[in-house]
Amino acid sequence: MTRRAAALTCLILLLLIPRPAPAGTGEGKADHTVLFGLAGSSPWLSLRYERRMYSTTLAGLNLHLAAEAGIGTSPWTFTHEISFPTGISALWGGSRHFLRIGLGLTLTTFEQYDYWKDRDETELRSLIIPSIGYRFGNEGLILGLSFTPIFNPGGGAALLWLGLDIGWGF
Amino acid sequence: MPFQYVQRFLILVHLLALFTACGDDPADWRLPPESVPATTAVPATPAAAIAALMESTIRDQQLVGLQVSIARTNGEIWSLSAGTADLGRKETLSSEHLFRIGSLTKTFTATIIMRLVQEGRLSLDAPVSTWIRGYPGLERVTIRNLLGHTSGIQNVFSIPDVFVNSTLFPDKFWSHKWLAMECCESGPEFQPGTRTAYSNTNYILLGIIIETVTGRRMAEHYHELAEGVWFVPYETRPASLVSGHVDHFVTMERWYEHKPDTKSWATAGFTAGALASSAKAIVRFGQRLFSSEIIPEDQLNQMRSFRERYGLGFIRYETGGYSLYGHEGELTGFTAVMLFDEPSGLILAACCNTTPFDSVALLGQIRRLLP
Repeated sequence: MTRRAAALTCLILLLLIPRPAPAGTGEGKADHTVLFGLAGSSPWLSLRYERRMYSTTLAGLNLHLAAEAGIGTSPWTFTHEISFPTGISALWGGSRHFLRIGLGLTLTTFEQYDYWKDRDETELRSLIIPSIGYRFGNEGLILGLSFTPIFNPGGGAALLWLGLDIGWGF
Repeated sequence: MPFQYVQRFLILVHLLALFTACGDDPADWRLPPESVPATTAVPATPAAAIAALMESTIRDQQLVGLQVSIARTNGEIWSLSAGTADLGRKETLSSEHLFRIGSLTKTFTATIIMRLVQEGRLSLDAPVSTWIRGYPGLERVTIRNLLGHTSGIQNVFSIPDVFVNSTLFPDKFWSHKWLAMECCESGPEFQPGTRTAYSNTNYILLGIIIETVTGRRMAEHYHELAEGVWFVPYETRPASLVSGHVDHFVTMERWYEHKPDTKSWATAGFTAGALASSAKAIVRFGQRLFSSEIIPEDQLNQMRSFRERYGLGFIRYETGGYSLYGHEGELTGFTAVMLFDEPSGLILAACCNTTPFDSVALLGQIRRLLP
């Protein structure tokens, strides 16, 4: 599972490699966004870069397809994992208000205790995090609030979760 | 414009949730009258009434399975099981099936401590730092503080990260020493001995003390103490351990089936909550404990010296019009309880593989049915 997740992460990272900017639609086109996230795709904090790969119109509204990747951590909390959130998303809306639907894959470090040897071992785990939410802004200040349930298909577990983003589009 | 679509989507999700909720059938089982045993512990009339109560409880509260055992301190054990051992509702539950018993583990851990006190290897009123070192603040905390929840040490289950990680990674094996250290490092919530506050960390520390002082693993201590108890996942998972069911909104188990058993919650609890057992084995342990077979009467009296509702390994409950003491336990998907009615000498225990479930209230109702 983790190997497949790592391969998918690499694919998403490939989408972020710089190339000619996509054709923009509507006013205030911003192909690059830097986002600071609370919860959401990375428990608990994350810093992510999002790049628009393709833009078109759907039902008279703008539709942007984007890929993102970043790093997350939880410096003030109890456990101190480092996570690597990646994902693809669709932003659909007017010039400043968007419905955001995404699918994320987050690799996270994970401490596993061996009781008999009395020591911790670090493993890498993958989580699938779909999201649906609202995004405000296009260029300049970006705000987002998403419903981001977290699934651990390998572990057979899930958790309702929310994410809050603040960022800058340029 | 997009908000109309968001609204429609949310309505669709809501309708789907309602549809899924309506599709849940309670366990379909009936106890044939001849299957209800009658003993000196429970005569025929109350036995039939208890069976009917268990049946209606399972149906009304949509429980998966339920075990009840009753005995007097020196009598035979009456047991009855209803419902199923698995979430698929295919395997009928028997009195031999094992459940996780959560915090009821604390009574077993406290008994081991009292036995070590009796042997002179521990002292109730000496600082915990006498036996384990390196944990901040334990110079002012005694074993009595830990047993009676008067230490002021933070409860490990009150920390959001423990909930998030235990839920998302059911195979996570927590380091109990690390959890205890983190709680001690966060500082006391109040000065030890000044008030009571329930904290699982107290009993994790007691487990660390027992292993340190004796040089033996807790699984050995529990097996030596009582038959039919298992310290899983610190030992091989017994085949008769049933699956637990959680009806908890945030874990989405109504829509997304989780793996039936977890290491994460049990190892976060360690000696505060990792035991598995059956109602029958719990009552058998209770008979030996309350008849002073395991520890002498004066040690037992120390355990039932209550401050507010907390004794040393016991909690006092007012239920069904009775004042009973013992301990209840809940670990995701499982509830368990053992209560002692001192005037009548009755020991009652129940195990259930569904949460949430008020097992103390059930035993209160059962006590009312008994002479």
